[in-house]
Amino acid sequence: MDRPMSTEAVADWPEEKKLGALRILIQHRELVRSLIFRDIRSRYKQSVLGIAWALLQPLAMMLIYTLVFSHIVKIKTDGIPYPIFSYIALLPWTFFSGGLTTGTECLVSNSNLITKIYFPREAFPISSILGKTVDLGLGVLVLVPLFLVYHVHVTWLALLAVPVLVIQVCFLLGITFLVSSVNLFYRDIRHLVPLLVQVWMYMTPIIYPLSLVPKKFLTLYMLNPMTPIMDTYRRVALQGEMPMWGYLGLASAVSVVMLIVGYRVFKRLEPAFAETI
Amino acid sequence: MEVISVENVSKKFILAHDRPKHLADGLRSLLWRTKREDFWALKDVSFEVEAGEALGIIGHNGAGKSTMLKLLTRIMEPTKGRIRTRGRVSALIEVGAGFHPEMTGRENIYLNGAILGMTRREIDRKFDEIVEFAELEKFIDTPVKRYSSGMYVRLGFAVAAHVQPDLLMVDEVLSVGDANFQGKCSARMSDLRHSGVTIVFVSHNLGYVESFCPRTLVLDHGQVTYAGDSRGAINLYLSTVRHEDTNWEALLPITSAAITVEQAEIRDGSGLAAPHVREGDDLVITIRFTAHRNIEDPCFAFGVHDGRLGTLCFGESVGRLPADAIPKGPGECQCTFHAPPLRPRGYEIWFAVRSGVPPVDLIPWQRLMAARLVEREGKVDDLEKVFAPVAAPFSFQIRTASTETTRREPA
Repeated sequence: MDRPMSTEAVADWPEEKKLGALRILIQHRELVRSLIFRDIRSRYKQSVLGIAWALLQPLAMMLIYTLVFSHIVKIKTDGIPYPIFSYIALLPWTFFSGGLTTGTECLVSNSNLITKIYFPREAFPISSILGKTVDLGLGVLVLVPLFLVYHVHVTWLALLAVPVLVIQVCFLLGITFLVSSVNLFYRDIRHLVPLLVQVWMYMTPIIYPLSLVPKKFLTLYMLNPMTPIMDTYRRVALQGEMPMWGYLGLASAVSVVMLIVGYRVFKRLEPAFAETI
Repeated sequence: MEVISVENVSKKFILAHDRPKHLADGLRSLLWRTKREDFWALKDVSFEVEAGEALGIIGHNGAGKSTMLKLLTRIMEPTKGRIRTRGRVSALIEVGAGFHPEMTGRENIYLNGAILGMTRREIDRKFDEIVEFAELEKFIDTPVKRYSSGMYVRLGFAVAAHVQPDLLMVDEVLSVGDANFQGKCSARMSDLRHSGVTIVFVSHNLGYVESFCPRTLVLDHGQVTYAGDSRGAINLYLSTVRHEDTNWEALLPITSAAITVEQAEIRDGSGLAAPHVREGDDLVITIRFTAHRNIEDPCFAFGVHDGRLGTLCFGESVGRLPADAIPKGPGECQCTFHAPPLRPRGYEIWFAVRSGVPPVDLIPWQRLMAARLVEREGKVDDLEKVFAPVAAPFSFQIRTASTETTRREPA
């Protein structure tokens, strides 16, 4: 990509300054909202089950893994019934993997807009990720009957899941900024990401508990930000325990760094979007 | 106060044939120097636009007009130089680009409005106006994938035209829809102009540019070759077209077994050779040919086709000349249409040569050359004026080595 040599960004003068991602979100909330609506609308249009598909995916995965890991291979889940044990992690993981997979394509699939109309390009990754939170929200509703069926004693600690989700969104958004913009130049990314997501899932305590991970690998294992995040959901919602603060803090730091790096790469590549896509 | 300032702007594209699209290519290009071809779409362009002004940009295909608009609308960034704009920029470039086929007209108005920078409240307020403008009251809750292309474009234009911009960039969108809708679009543009919106207008419709924009830039191979009053810009542009449009000469000679047409020219009434004739002047078409044998009962036909629509505007033929035959050898045929009542734009001259009774084609009906009718000086183009095929008064003249025949048709 050629960097402009002596260029100054086309900018309204003097009013408008460089906008950060957060300001885009506020200033162009109408746009982000419209794009989210469009994505959801088109995702479930002309399907009989419609938005119910958002629930079916984590539920189906829960059933399959329950079958495999509590009836065929029996694994210890720290005394938690396997269906709820897996669902509490599968739900945010589906959000993560789905968000990353569609987020990778968010620029390429909007090429008609990118080459025809100007508006802040951050709107695409942001709306693509936020759109997935709608599915996540629906999945959370399913937790209520599951909690009742499996007699989970929910404490106030469960509210900690909310800030953890914010960390997860930051991390996801950071990666999405990175992969969506690089994918625009090298379409290899779109093939690489699903593969990566698959491997990543097995590297994260989702279908098995953290306690099964051999001690000697634990430190390395915890460097994956998704590990403390998933572990925290399980602790605060199912076990009423405090998170492992040290690791969670590390994951937050990594997430913030990821967001900054991803956003900067995105902004650096942005001027070449329209002519490369 | 200037609201657009373009300072020494250049834009380079790397021609696509070797741009790495895959990592493997990318790696290869790190190891070996791959062929790269730079293409400068714009070279050192500078201009300013004052608040409330309407600026036209004209130029032949590939001159950089669309690139300029993409830079002005911030879709692309310049390689060198600086562009500054003041106020809300809106563009009528490709209307309806943001539509989603699965969504209804109503939903798409909100989506497209938001994409174009309108707030929800603004769209609420203008919603009925937009629907009425697009003439889609009945279909507004139908998914746009069921729309005809005309409906699609009308809705797109309606939304875009109702954004209240400070700066409006227009790229040849007025050629959409039927005549009625086109009229509405021009009216809307004039409204916007009168309400003080600054407009940059890119078009091939020279008549429209001249009536709409007091000042016009001519772009030629990425450079500004003229900036000033629109009449001068159009004249300069047309003079370069004359040199570049070799197309109409390249068609010749047209040969058949019986006759070869070597030369063709078009002149106005005063005898000036020009592929662009001023409106209201006579149109004199002359062909010079060589007959390879005697042609019995010759018949020449000429017609003027609309260059864009391809329809015949008028035409005339002459046959059964008093001479009865064109002898073998060189000759000339001239057809004059007196003051054809046409709108200024591009036309094509078509012709045919026939012989015998009933006539048989020696040269079938085909394109002879392109002609451009330009507006008469000092006359304001009436945009509402439409034309239909008409019978234009004409005269014919045929000269050969031995004979000269003339046939005149009284007006």
